[in-house]
Amino acid sequence: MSRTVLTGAAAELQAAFPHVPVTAGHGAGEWLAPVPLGELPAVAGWVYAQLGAPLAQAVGVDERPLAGQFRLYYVFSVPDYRQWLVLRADVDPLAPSFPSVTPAVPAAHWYEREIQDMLGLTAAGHPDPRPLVLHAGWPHGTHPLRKDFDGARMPARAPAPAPTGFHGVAGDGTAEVPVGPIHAGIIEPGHFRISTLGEDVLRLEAQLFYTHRGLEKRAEGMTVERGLYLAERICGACALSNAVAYAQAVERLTGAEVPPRAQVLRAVGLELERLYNHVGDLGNLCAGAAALLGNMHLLRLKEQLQRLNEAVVGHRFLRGFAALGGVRRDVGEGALVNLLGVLDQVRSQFLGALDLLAGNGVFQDRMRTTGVLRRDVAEQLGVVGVAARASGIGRDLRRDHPYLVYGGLDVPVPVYPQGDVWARFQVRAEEALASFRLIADLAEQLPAGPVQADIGPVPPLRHAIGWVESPRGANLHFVMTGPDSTIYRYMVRTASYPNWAAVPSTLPGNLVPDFPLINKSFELCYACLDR
Amino acid sequence: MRSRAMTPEPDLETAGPALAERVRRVLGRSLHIRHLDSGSSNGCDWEMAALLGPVYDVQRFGIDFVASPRHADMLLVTGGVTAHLEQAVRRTYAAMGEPRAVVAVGACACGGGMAGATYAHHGGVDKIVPVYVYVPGCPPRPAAILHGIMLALDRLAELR
Amino acid sequence: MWSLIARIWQAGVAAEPAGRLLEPAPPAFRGAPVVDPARCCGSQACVAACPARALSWTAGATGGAPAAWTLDLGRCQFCGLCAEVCPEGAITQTQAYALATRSAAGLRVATAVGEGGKSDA
Repeated sequence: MSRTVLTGAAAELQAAFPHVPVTAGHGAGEWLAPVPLGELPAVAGWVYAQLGAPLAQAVGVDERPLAGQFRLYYVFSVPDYRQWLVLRADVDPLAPSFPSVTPAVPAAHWYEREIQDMLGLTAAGHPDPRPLVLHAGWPHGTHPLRKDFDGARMPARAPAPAPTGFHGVAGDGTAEVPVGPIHAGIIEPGHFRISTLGEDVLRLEAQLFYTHRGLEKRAEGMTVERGLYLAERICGACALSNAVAYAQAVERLTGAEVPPRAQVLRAVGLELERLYNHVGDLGNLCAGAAALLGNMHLLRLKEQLQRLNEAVVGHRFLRGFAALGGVRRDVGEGALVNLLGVLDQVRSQFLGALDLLAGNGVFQDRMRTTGVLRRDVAEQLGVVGVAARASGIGRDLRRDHPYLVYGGLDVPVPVYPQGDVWARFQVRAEEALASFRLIADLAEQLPAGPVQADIGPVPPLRHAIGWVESPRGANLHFVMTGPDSTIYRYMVRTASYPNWAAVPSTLPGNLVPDFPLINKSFELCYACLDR
Repeated sequence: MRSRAMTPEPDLETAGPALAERVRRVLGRSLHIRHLDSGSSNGCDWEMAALLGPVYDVQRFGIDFVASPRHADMLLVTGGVTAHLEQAVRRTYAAMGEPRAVVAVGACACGGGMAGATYAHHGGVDKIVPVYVYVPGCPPRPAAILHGIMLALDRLAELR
Repeated sequence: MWSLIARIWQAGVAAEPAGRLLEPAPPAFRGAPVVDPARCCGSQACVAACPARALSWTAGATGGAPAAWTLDLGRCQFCGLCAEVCPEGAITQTQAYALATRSAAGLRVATAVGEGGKSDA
């Protein structure tokens, strides 16, 4: 294997830690650094503090059958160099513990708690080592992602106790309001514990992972072809983003090139996904403030956009569109013309709805200064997407780590400093308007040619990441193949992962009735967090 | 060439008025539906929410979604029942009065979907509570869910 | 207020007329797949390709029941892969979407295929 010349962040990392052999990973821009376990927090802390590189994903893998060790992978994003730095450390099965990176890199907190639950490795020194994914009642020693755990059988579990482990508050006049997991409306399950003093919220705590289905374990042993259909169904609202991110990970594994026409079609699909989500999320945000007129106008537009998805691609959530190596079906000239015509109409009605809401003083008042996500909190927790951009952090994978044809497009990244519900509303509205234009630009530059290429043989024992800026933010898919080229490990970290952790910090100082509004201003998915 | 099970209900032209009439006939009043997400990918949930939106507007047929199983005639379940939500499914079902119709909405609810039966996922609503109507789809379109509700109404009529 | 009324007037009636609610889905829609009994050769390419294990093919008894191609609609993901991989082009993905049934057994739709196979439509 020839030595690749280190560039950018990889070179800086090598210079700072000469004894760590930094090598090129699979796929352009990916660099791998095997770090001695004891030095993991120091090196990770250096990457975060000195390179200003946020942690994008951390994955634990049971590689005992392959290498006799557990392995941890910490993936950092370095947008300045368009590189991904992957720190890898080995954990001895006889000493199943690792030094927590969280004190140095707070964004690692949930990943490490998940590794504790799913692999049984202790994160020593973690400031909050409570279980995260597995609720109380599982038999002791249940670590589903260990290779000797039978993922197809449900262990006998003690009857579920009421959610516990909350800190709460104490004092005269305080109350704890439990909400969920089953909610009054049509919404996904999650438990929230609101600690109040009268109407004022003192604290919000959440227990999620109610819809944990064990999808990552399910993926193990699947062919990469079959895995695509699982990736599409982790979540409904991010179906195409997840499918494309997964496909891109596999394509980086095999070194496949996606034909130009397919790249543009994928981008069109992804912008359509962004559009219907943003329009619908803005509508739901209105419902959170009981601005039902805005809610109805926007839901009507969302329905039109989903019918458009169905007419163009065959599915209202764009499932069945992405394929390994391209897209499943071509989109004809007639369909494109129709698409642009419908989008034109929807756009002008969308502007009308925004106008209506801008003039509604009560609604604007509800949104301003409500649910502020502080910039420093967002930065430390690795918040991404709409929530980040509305708190002054201008991050967008389409611009920072361009994929498909986004490198050649002018992707606006709206940034607002306020961090309140209003800012998240504005960011979505601007991005939706930008998506209308992006789709038109993409349709114009659609080249002729095939829409799918053969991805070639799938190499064994290789890992790669794929990524997409979903409507909510950065989705990263880590795919590792085993000795027989089937999926050995599959870890999905969508935008909802870091962002859910940040939501509780936005409640104190607001009223209890603001809770639904704030929640809807984030509009995160439970399903793609829980998997 | 298509087997009978694939053909949609025959009375397409009068679906709406027929639906409202069926609701009145079977229940003597409106139909109250409780939605329960037992671990879905949220696709089915969104399609169900669309029924309450301005385009499908099921409230004009006397159908409404309610906040508690105690107010409901029908339970629409999405997802294939995760381990963490099994108790919620059992308690929700137990809290409904008779007659109660459980409708499994979507592939996960009907037969486990792509998740199947895992350590954390039962793989189908009928593994936990009896299901009266199954609505296939991934997710089923809002119109398909409406069709499933109509079928469940027929069963409710038989139960009375 | 007047601009609001004007907007309401412009938007018109949003609700889809009741009679159109169960109209056919658009041509691109990925609905339920069906098999042409005369073309099915029993290759089981579809069975192998189905990501949800929703398909099965059982051989017929000699001189007895014909072979059967069975689709479990409860498991079907409506991805259309079966239609793509069939070497004989026997499977078509239709736009059928109103597929609710009253029983789990009703979800499994069997079509007699091959020699002696015929549709029961």
